[in-house]
Amino acid sequence: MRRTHPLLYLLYLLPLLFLAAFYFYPLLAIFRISFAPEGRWTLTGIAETVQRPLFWQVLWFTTWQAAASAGLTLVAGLPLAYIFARYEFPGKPLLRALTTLPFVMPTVVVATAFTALVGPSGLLNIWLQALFDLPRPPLRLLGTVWIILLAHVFYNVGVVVRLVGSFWAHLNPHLEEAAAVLGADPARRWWTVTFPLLVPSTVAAGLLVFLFCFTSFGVVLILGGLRYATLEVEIYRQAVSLFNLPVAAFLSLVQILLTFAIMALYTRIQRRASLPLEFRPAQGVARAPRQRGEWLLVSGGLVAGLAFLLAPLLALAWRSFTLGDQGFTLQYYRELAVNRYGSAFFVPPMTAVGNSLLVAAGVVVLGLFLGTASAYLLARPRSRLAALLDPVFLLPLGTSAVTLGFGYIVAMGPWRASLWLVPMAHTLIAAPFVVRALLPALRGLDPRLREAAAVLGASPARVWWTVDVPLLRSAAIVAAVFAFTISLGEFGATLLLSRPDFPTMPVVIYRALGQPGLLNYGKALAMSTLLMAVAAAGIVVIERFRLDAVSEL
Amino acid sequence: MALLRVRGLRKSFGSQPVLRGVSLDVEAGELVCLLGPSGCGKTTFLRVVAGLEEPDGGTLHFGSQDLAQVPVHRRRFGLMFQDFALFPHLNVYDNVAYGLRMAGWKEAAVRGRVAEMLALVNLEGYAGRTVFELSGGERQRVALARSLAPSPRLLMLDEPLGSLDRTLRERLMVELRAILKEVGVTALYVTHDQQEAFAVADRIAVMHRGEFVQIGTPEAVYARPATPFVARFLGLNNLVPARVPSEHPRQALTPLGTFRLPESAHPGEGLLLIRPEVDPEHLGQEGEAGAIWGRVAALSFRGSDYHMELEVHGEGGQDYRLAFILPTHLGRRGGAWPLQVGTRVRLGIHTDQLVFLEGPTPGGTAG
Amino acid sequence: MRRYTLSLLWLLSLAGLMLGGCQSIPGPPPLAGQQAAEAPAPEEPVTLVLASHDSFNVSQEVIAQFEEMYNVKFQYLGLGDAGEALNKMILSRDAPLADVFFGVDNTFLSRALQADIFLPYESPLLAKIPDEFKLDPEHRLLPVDHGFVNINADRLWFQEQGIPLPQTLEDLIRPEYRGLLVVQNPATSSPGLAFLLTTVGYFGDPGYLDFWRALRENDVLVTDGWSEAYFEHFTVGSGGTGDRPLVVSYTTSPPADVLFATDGRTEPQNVNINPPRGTFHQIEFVGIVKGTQKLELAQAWVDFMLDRTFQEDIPLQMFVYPVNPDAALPELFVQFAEIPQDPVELPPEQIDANRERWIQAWTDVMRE
Repeated sequence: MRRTHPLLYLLYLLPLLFLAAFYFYPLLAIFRISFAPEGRWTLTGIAETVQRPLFWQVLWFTTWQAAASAGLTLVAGLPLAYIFARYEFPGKPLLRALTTLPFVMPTVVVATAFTALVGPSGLLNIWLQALFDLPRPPLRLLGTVWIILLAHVFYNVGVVVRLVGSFWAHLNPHLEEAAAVLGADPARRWWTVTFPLLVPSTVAAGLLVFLFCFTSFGVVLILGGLRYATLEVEIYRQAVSLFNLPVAAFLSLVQILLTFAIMALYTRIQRRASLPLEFRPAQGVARAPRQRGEWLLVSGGLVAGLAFLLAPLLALAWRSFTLGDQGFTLQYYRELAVNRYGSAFFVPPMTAVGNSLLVAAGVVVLGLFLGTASAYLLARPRSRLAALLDPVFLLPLGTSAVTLGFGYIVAMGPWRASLWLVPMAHTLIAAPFVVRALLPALRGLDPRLREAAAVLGASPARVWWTVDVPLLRSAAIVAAVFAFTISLGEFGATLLLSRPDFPTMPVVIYRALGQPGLLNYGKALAMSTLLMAVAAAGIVVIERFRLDAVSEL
Repeated sequence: MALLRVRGLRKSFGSQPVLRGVSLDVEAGELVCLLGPSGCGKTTFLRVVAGLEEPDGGTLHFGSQDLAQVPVHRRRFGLMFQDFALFPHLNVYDNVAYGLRMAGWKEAAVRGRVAEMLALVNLEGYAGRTVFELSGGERQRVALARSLAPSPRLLMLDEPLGSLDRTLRERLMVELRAILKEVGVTALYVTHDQQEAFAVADRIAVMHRGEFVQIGTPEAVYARPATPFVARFLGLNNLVPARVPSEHPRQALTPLGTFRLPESAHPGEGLLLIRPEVDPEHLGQEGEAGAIWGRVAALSFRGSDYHMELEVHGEGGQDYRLAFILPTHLGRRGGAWPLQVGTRVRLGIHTDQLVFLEGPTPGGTAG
Repeated sequence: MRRYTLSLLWLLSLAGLMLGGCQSIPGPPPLAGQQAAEAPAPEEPVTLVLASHDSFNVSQEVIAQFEEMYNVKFQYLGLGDAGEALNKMILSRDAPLADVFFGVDNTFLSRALQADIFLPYESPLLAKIPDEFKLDPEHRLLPVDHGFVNINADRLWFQEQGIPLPQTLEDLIRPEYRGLLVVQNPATSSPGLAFLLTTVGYFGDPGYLDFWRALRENDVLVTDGWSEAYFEHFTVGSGGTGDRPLVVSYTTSPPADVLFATDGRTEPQNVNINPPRGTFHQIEFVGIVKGTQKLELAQAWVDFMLDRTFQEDIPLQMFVYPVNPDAALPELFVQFAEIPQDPVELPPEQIDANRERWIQAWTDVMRE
């Protein structure tokens, strides 16, 4: 066990090769073209950019809105994570699946759902107006920073619930109880015991959320209006509408460097905060609420949390059945299967579902494989290389999709239009989640367990199979859920070329939204609802492996 | 008046009753063991007393204080978990200091008290270690020091030796009792191991299916188990169906013959417990209470004694297998060991070997 | 047992993935499997690749006709929105993504021509096309369709409220139209840019900024894209939940309201408002990409696009007008998608020279 098997190095090499091929190579290619179009390095426009106050405003806004979003998401997500980690209640797998659903929804669709709920003539305003007899809608969130934050929380709460929740579920509840008996009131229990132990996963979750919001594009653009430009929006503007590649590349570089700096800081915290914890099967920890207070907490928390998460989604699903004036109707679902004007690029809905599932399955496999290899590489104790690589593995999340997409065009040569690039690109985004989901659990793995197994005569492969795999299983399930949902919801048009002969569900949604007419809108809503259903079903299926794991014990 | 008074405590998990109205008194400075098989409710009892679970019914008083409204962190009790629950993010010092800091001790006082506690459990010099650098036995001591540091009014220990290996356990149970007695703390001690309970406790409360079936000193419980369950749980398995006739309340009629009881019993059906300790004088003799006649079915040497299983032919055709313990010196005295497997032997029974356990107990025989 | 099932599943999906991947590498057409089953084809059809923005659409039978005529396999690659698509074509000029590119409009025309990525082709069909559409005298980019960005109004809403429809751009800043209009961000949306250019052409530079200031004061709503504006906020497009009865859209949107209606309506609920010099004329072009190995096929495709079959397919697939006058318009277009007589005039060179500055100035004004 002491010495690393040469085969392991090969395994460690694979995620690095993957990053090199699908991240660094295209990125460097587009940087070279942007900064040195004719072989000579020019920095035209960059000095001007930096001198403009707008640049600094955008940078500041991007950073603080991401930090605020991450903070709010943690505040909203931790109580839910606690409930899912510590209590058993009917319908738990489905409810947990629902918390992840917003993650798969295309931004346009979520924005629609949000407007339907809190817009000037949204449900909430209509109710409030009726209730308090107000002349004007009281909630005026559209175009304010609040709706951006709200949408970011909505999108990312699942990340916290999943990442922190799965870690929390394995924390020994006796630790908190011991603190209680020793005289710690609930607040001090949280601050002196629970929170310090949760730091690795909390920081991991907070960071992913921060990165997601840091590069947020659609949400800011659609809900925030033009008042709120993030770096990513600015990059898009420079790259696409102005075709000012040097400035776009420069902004991307700023984005990447900032990401790297934050990551490096985080890595330090993370390494210091990770402890080998005595992991125990979650089943032994979670239990049904017993006292009235617990019931109140669980049901109250779930109702509030799910109301926030589900209201927009339900509003959306509701609209897919009731759009227009004809009351409840299935015609938008039927319309999905109708090629009304004989388009050559028509897709039967089941084909889109099948394609989406095929890609998602591939991303789950590839993401788990590469993510696990990366996580093992990063979990090596006292490795300088690992400390350096840790932030690198997160970079794809903090990188402008527009820039990287241009990089693919420049660098991928004959493979630019290949279908196998689709799961690769999705994996690039999903792998950081897989790594983050696995790392805290992997670092928390007590090395004595492996030693014990090795002493008992297990070969390294057997040690891995009998010790690591069962203990990492629930983290791996979380990772798989993320890989699956990210792939399912990824439109990927900015990153990749779209191939109408292999459309996924988001592509169908966007195509339907491209033309006027109520049927098109209804089709998009119906497909979005279908996407939600497929995602929920997929998550529940993946979660079943967790349940089986427990019953196997 | 007892220090801790528990009356009619009830607790269910879902439809599963775990505590069925139990009552217990613990005197100041007393060390009471809750003994019972796993799942009997003893840990739940501790957790309710600690305040970690809310009872469904019953009362809890500590001195003159009703504990019903006192949350767990204000009870000033100590609880040592079976898995020790040491805080993995704190070193030994900070673990032991935790309760003191929660009680608002000054840091200087904390330092003195932690040193004192570590000395008490023989862990001087361990203050800076992390939890992961400790062996199982060392963790157990840190957990004990942590529980004792804030001078709890009542210390509860949930299988404190349960996760340790046999030899370590035997050494530590003596040590543990010594420490607890030295500190003079009132303690509730949960275990499923009768030897541990005997070694540690001032008093034992045997628990079965959410009820206390017998409470008494270790000697009393061992000498006179109140029910067949207690007898079996203490490893006393020679139970033979018996009837005490009303005309002869000092006689027990069994398939193995009639035995004379040490004192009058309530007439009726029941089980006769025959203790396994054999006085070598009675081998081959008629005892004052009677005798049994059987064939040696198994014999094993255990060092200071032999374990013998005797197959006894009972009335009605049923065979009974009874276990006995014979001192090893029996053989030495007579030169050769007198018994072999297959030997037929008569064994005299003393009255103080017999306990009549009342109540119909179908099938509860040593057959 | 479970674990084996799981790993088997993984292996299978991985295998499927690889198969899917191999099959899709360009070269062998995607229908290779089907072909292998048949007798060896006399001549392997080559693939003609058309790159375009994501809104490109065409009828199945029209494509089939082209494929049959030239024994060719037609493939379409979507490259994102119009701006992204052109930029990707420029970036890939050393290793072209496609043989033909469709979707450069007059706002991007100068950039496309400057990038020098298209081959000139004087299609014989150009003769039929009115000169007003031919903006590139060298015929590197040939006009295919055109449309008009205008303002759509909810006819019923204005009837119910008893407010007259706005007639001019100036009307939009009058108090009675406060909070009624939704527009798109010109930095991220093509109709948004078109509408900004309309105001530049109409009010002049820098007069357009005063108009936008007034519009901002009149509570105009800005969305990032056409879809959000039309489906979320426009009262007609949203099926009644939106609260803006005026939207920047296209003159062809009203026919779509009937074509994609759910209640069998025969008259659209939205009507075109084409203020004098208040609409923007968008012309979309096709070009043969420099470096194509299939020049003749590419030229055939361009001819095909300009010919009647394709031209008549355009309105119902892409909701724009054909440039070839021979192509008959669908009845609904004739009825409800009248062509504005005096769109604003702004030469492409001027657009290209000032686009960045105008957008920036606009952004600054709207953020004030």
